Amino acid sequence: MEENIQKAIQQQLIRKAPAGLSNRVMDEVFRLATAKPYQPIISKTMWWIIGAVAALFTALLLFLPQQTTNISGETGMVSDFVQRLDSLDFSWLTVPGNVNLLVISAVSLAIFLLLFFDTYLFRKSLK
Amino acid sequence: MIDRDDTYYLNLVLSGDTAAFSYLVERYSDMVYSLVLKMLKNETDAEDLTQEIFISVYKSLDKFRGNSKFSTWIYRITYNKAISKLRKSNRIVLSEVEKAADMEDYDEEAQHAPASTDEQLQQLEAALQALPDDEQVLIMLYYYENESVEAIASITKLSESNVKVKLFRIRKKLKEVLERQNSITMPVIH
Repeated sequence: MEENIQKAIQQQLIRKAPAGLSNRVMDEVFRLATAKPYQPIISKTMWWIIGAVAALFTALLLFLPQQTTNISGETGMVSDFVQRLDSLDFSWLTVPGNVNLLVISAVSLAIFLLLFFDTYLFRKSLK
Repeated sequence: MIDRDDTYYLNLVLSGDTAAFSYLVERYSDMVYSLVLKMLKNETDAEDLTQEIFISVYKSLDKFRGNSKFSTWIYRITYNKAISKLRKSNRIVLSEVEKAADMEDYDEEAQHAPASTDEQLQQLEAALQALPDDEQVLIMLYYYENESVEAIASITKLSESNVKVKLFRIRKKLKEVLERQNSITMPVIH
């Protein structure tokens, strides 16, 4: 009985795939297999590390014991945060002080664009 | 050539033997094409989508966890891709009303069914053709590919009870046809 149904299905419902379909599929599969996937400059792990460092830095600023006195009238987390930022020693940042502001902006923009296209190309390669 | 199971070829592909994928393509291309053609009703679209499905299967091979049969997994991808293609083109998936009318016409014609084996088969084929498209897909998966009710439910996203009901209805329709000929009973759906 089942044999009859299978025979009928075979006759009426099952169609032979078009000739050459397998070859076309395999051509594409081989192309995919040999294509080198684009690798992002900054890996996923590195992004996690950068994120963790940024979060740690922010947490330290917020929760380390306060070393400066409150400016009268200013209260709350924002003012604490600003005061803690003031108390930090950023003198090392003055090293590239002689560099033109325009150069710094250009370099920042270049890094931003690089990261943007890096992510864009990586996502495109995944599709 | 030794007929090995899908897992064998799957492991070969995953270990870097890309050519082994051709065995899986050969094994499933007719069924995938037939299912897609049944749903899209256009040969060119069906061919393009079948190719797309196999590429998609290749790209996601590493995501196949082996919780279901490989065939179930590939038919699930097939069904989903065909449904989204139909949705994109705003075409109606099923035409039950239209087919139900055909079935009624068929029933009348089948009243005086001949009893020879070839003609029995012809009657059965005609009965299959008269089924609505969704039921044809179900019967292809159940009787031809031997997929379980649970597997068919996961492929079509229907509930198991719904699949059972639909299979029961199909069985009943076909049984009516066959009973008119030789009073043969159909297998029970578990």
